[in-house]
Amino acid sequence: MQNSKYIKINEDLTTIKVEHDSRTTLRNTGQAESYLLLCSGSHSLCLTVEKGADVTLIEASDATPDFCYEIHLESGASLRHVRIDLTDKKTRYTLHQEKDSRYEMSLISLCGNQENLFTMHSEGEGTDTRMCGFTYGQAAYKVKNTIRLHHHKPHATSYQAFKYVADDKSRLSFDGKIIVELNAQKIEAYQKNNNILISEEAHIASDPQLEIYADDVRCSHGSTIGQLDADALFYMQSRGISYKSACGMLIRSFADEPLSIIKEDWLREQIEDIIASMLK
Amino acid sequence: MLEIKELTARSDDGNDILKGINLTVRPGEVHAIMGPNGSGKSTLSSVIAGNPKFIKTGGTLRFNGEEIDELSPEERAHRGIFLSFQYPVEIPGVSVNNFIKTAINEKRRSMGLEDMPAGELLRMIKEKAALVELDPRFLSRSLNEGFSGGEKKRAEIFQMAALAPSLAILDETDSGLDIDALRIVANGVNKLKSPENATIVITHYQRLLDYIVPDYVHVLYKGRIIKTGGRELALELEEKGYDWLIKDYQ
Repeated sequence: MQNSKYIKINEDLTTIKVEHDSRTTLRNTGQAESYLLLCSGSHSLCLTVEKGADVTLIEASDATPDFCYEIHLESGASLRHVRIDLTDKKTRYTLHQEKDSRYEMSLISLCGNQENLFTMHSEGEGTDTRMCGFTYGQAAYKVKNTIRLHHHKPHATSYQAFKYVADDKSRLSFDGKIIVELNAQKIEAYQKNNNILISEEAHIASDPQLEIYADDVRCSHGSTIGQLDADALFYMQSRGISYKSACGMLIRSFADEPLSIIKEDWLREQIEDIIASMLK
Repeated sequence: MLEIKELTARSDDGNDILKGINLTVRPGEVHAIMGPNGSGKSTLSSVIAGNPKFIKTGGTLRFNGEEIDELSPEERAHRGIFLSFQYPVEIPGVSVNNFIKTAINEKRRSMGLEDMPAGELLRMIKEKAALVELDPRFLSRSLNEGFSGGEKKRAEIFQMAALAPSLAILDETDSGLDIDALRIVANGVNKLKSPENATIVITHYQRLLDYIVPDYVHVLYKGRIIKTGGRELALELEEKGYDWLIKDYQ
């Protein structure tokens, strides 16, 4: 059985349908716009977000087994990208950011095997890139995120935070590298991967890396692996909250960074419900 | 209400900490437990509340006539025990509102009651926040995250007010509080006092006992209560320190 979890889209969203090799440009309408990305097969998409546009892209469809994107953010464009994975997927993904553009992603994986390769290029000064992920590994699912984030230009910022919870016999892996080119002075780039092992049979591989050629930058990376905090659990239980609910609250808390990127209450609440239902 | 006899306990790293505690707390009473660092004060409160880090090795622990050693911390909370933490835990992404709502409704479910209607819950939360002078804006913030020391303790007393326990244990509630925060927290505790409930105040200093007046003061040393007296014992300790008692004991 692959999946009994699904996301109900109950908002009026403009739909972008991906068929074969689609090309789409999202225009600057002078106001924030939200789109739903629908893809029903092994296709590719080349998406351009026009200069100054402010766009949200929501991807919660369960029929994208093999997908290839290329996203271009023109100068000053802003894209918030929310992706919920509930089925098997394989994604190759390339991002190009021009001057002063902003990219923010929340990647939520709750079910299925996934293999994602993200290649990101900051190609203009003043770009900001934020990638936050939450993966709840269950059963024998394998999830692998590979990230190559290239800083080509100075005065840019990037931030990555991937939160993994590994249950059952799941195998989760994080392979992230920030590459700062010689020319990319004065950048700030941070990366972290925090993991919670719930089951003794689960497996986590964490490999955060920095490759820095410039000499005037601020970069850090880190990785942690642990269990649910016993003191926090006792604190909540002492207030009458059951062990199971307390675990759920702690996991919700652990996932706060990626979830807080999702401003759509109807969507975030469904994700919270799915997470709560996954605890045994 | 609380009946402790010859209670012994050890920490999960194998140290014997409590070495035979005897303590009886009746409804309406306020007990202060004082003692030097490392005497076992916090361990005693942890054992009463059911912290799995400590293992009871002997004696009896009864609450309203029931042996509670086998009960989980949440079951003890449902029966009316509340522990205010010296270091309340920060929980990002879980609002104070949501946390207290969950706590209240889980207690109600354990009693076979329906969840509290949302409107009633909201009113009650507002009323209790006012009681401890907690700014209502805190209610929608993540629990304890970025709160100052005083705000954390106020949030603890707020939760105590909302959960209305019959036995409240305040573990070093005064640590890190300035005099104004101390007064507000103590006022909250005093307003919640009734002939039906009891309070155990664990503290290092006499200062808090100017505001929360105890009926009994116990001095804990090396895992045993070595002296029990009235309020005047706390004043005597303030003046003379613990050394004279410890010397007597040794």
